[in-house]
Amino acid sequence: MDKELNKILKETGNRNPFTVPENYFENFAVEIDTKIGKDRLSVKKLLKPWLYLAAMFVGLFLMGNVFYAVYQNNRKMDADLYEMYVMSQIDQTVVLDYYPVESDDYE
Amino acid sequence: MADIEEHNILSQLVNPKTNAQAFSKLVRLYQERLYWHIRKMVLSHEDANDVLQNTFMKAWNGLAGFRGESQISTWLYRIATNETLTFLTNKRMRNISGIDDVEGLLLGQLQAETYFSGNEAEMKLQKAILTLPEKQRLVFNMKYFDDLTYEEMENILETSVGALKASYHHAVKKIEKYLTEEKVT
Repeated sequence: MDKELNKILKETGNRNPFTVPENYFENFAVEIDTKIGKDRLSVKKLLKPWLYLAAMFVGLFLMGNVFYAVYQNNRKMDADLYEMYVMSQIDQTVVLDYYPVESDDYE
Repeated sequence: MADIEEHNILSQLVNPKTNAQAFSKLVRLYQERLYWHIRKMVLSHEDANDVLQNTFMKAWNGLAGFRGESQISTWLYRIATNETLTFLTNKRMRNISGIDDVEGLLLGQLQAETYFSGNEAEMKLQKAILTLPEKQRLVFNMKYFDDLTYEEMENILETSVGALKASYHHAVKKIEKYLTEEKVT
């Protein structure tokens, strides 16, 4: 014990006056093992719904991409077809009249 | 021997496949030391049990953050000390409107404690220790009962050796004064 302590403290001594219930430490260690086991399980359980949600979003994103690509393609095809249709309906002579006459032609 | 064991446990703790088993070993290796460290501060067995459980669960959850810069025992002691001081602060906050202060409450708990086998002198010593501020109590217990060196305490409490020596010196003087007065009355 420390030199600094006087007679009273030396007489009292530094014995640990506290006690614990029987088998406390054996049971405590087992309790912590159980908690750790549950904790490991609960981490997996906690992650599972988030993983499902993330997978769902990835699926939706990919499907969205496919639908968008198809939609864009259809729109382009429609526009091409409409142009062809309009051109087929116009009288070619009217079209020729519509085009501006080159300035040389007036001379 | 303990160092070799600590080194083995440390290498197993960083591996996710073996960390649960290694942590279980760690609990068995340090639970008694940490329990007594906490118990001498909170005095009641029930409270010490709660704080010890929190200590190990905090350590388990913070395992990824432990880089091995200090010894495992120092790291665990630090968590246990912080948990104990937090527990006492919360107790003080809960009891702010109560009749007794926390020290009075702890003393009442100690006198009613089933798991106390001390004689009259030891009870008086515990009462004297309770008159100290928390940090001094911590330093006194670690030096007087656990016989830790100032260097070990410096790592755990992150306080300089000089400050620890001064703190212990003041604590001893206050306790001696209390015990002398008790003897006279």
